[in-house]
Amino acid sequence: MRKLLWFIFFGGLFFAGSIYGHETLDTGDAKSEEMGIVEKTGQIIPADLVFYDEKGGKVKLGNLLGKPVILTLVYFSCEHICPLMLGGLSQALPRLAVAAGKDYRVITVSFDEADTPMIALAAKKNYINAIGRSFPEDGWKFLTGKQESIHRLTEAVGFNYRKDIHGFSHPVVLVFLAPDGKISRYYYVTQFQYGAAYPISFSSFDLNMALTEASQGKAVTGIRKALLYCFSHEPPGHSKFFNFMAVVGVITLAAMVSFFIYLQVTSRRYRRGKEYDAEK
Amino acid sequence: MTLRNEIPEVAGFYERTGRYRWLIAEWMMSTDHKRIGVMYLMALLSFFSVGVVLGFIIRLSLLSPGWLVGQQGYNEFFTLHGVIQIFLFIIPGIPVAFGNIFLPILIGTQDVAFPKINRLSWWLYVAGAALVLLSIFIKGRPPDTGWTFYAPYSVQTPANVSIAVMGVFVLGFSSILTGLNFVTTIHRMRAPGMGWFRMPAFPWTLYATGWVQMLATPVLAITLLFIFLGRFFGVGFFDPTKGGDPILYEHLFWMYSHPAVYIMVLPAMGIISEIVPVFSRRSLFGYTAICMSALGIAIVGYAVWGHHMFTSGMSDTARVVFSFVTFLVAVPSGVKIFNWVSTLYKGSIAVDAPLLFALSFIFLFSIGGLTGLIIGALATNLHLHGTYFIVGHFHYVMFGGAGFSIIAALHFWFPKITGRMYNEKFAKIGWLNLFVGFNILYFSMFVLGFQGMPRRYFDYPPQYHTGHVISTMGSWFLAIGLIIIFANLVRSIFKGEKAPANPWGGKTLEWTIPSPLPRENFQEIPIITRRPYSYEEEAK
Repeated sequence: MRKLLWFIFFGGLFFAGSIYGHETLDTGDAKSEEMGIVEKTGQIIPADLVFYDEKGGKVKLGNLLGKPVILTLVYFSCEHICPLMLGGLSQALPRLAVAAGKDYRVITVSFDEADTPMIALAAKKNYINAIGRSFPEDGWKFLTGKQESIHRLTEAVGFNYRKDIHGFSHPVVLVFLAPDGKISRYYYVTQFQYGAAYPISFSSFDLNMALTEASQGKAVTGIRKALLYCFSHEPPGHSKFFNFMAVVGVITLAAMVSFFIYLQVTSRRYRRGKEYDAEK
Repeated sequence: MTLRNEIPEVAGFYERTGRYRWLIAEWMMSTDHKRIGVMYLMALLSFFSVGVVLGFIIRLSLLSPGWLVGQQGYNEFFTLHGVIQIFLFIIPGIPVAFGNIFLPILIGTQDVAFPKINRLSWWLYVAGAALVLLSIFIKGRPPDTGWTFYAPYSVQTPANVSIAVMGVFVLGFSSILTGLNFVTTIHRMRAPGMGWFRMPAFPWTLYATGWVQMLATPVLAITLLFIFLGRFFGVGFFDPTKGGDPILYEHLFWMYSHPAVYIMVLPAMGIISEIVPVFSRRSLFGYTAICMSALGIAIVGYAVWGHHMFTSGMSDTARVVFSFVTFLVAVPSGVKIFNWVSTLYKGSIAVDAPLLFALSFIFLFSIGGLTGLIIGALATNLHLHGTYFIVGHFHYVMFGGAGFSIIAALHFWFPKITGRMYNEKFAKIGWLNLFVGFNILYFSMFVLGFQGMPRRYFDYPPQYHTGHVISTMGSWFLAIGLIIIFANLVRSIFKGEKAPANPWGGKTLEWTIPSPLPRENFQEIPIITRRPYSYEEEAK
């Protein structure tokens, strides 16, 4: 009886204590040092940054502004989502209500220092080709640059990426800039349509809307969504992990098999009345 | 009825032993498999009713989106509905309740192999359930991840996921211990003369289930442990921002949770295999095939988990293989369906409530199984994945399958457990409401899903309104049916007629001992000389 009371007493203490034991994790917003996006809507990106255009000429970022800009950050050797995103963009651009080069401009900047203007030119030819109709050469710029400019730009738009063994891990996002270089909004890529010809697609309605808002210099904070990340699928750590899982799996399986054998072998000793088992 | 007179009056298993002053202590400390089984049954049915109420509120809220529960509330409701119904009710479900009560009796022994481990797994179940429920009542938000706890959301959400995950972790150990116990019991403690193929079908399915429980549940445990490490120590197994991979979580989770589907449904098939022969007065057609197909399902069931992830990103080879193996697993299930129907053929059928529920199982499970083939095929899966079609399929298999078989077993074994008869008329009225309501509720989900209504959304465009209204109206019939069924059963515990030892004319061992079950299962351990369902042999 006394035991039971003690039991209830301690049980009650445990329960009462745990009522306040709720969890206080942050909401999953990327911290500044983590891969992801830290929104800097409304801030102005530095206009004095110097990059190289596809022909190898130096170009000041400020000179490319003056109209609404769709800024994308990728690396050209990417084999994951970057080409799919640019491909999706190449399908959406000709459907827009406004004219590229005149009313807006797309700027694709590589954040990989190893990318050269020559690689950028190849990428440009590829995606202009994908558009499938005449597209003003000036409407989509593919820029490469030195580490310092890259760093200042990614810092300015809050784009946190990380070098991996096989490339980079980074978020997938379109950044809309107002004519004065103000960050108008982030357009997150959230959907990957498995099996479609262009798994990443953009609605022309959304893009038109975002460009109009950018041209008016509006700062729009969109609803935060779960955005896609571009990352290598099997970093080296994984193979170690899979080896670990395989070993654990084999041990478990072996344990089960030996348990079965043990039960079979010892059943003669433990089970009575086996002699009646045979069919008559 | 000479049989009844031969049975001497003995103390029922629920009578006080006098070893403890408090009733609760006496039951909680008991190692009697029947008492543990009955406690499990009470707990399961309580959780089932909570889960039903949550599901009912979800349906009610969808009548006009947002009028009852809002966005966040909806996420919490469907998560808790899923967690409670799956982890607290249907996965432990049949093995721990009916398995505990009837396995030792069906194979002719006094108790399970490890009675104290049996009690330990009951305590673990209580502890795990308490932890899961705690996650609702402590400060902060209840879990809102869906019952699958998909990473990375489960790692990032500020809700009380850790404690719910901890609860499921503990429940897993309860499940492993039960599996271990049952497998050992079946290997070692069968009555003299009860060779493997003289064992009734229900113990056979429990045997297959036991192995699945032992082999699959550790995978869930380790997966949930990784969520823990992620939440508390920032280890990013599943977090792409830390070099992890969310798809990995899905693989690990379904590697357990698909076999878990067979943990739920295999013993259900066992129950149906017990009921159908009794009410058609014929021996189970294709007995060996039914037993072997249970093992077949258990084995093939390990290699189909990828079909939950056809749209998540997998190589085409993997998808084709998983799709093919999924089709393969339908074969043993089909074998069972045909065998039950063949058992009925030319039988002397008595359409009593247990058979009605069993027949409903066959009908509903067939619909569930066939729609499973539709979503197991790659091309149609791309269209239907993540829609109400999946929800409909899932409920047809789990509720129409496992759920109906639990209600069937409740009626079938009610006289044996309680020593009273239930009211047949009310049982049938309840069945009619439940069956009609069930089909209105979940069949409209197939239509809604085919039209593109996504699952887990608290809101929908107007074109789905009619479908949702029909579905919700179905839930009212279903609720009325459940209320009638359970009110009838509860009333009958106290006011029902006294039950004879063998009210249905069953041939298996539990019908040879008194109702309610005596404290000692058998006065004398029986010697088995024939197969379990010997109707024809007797008629000769």
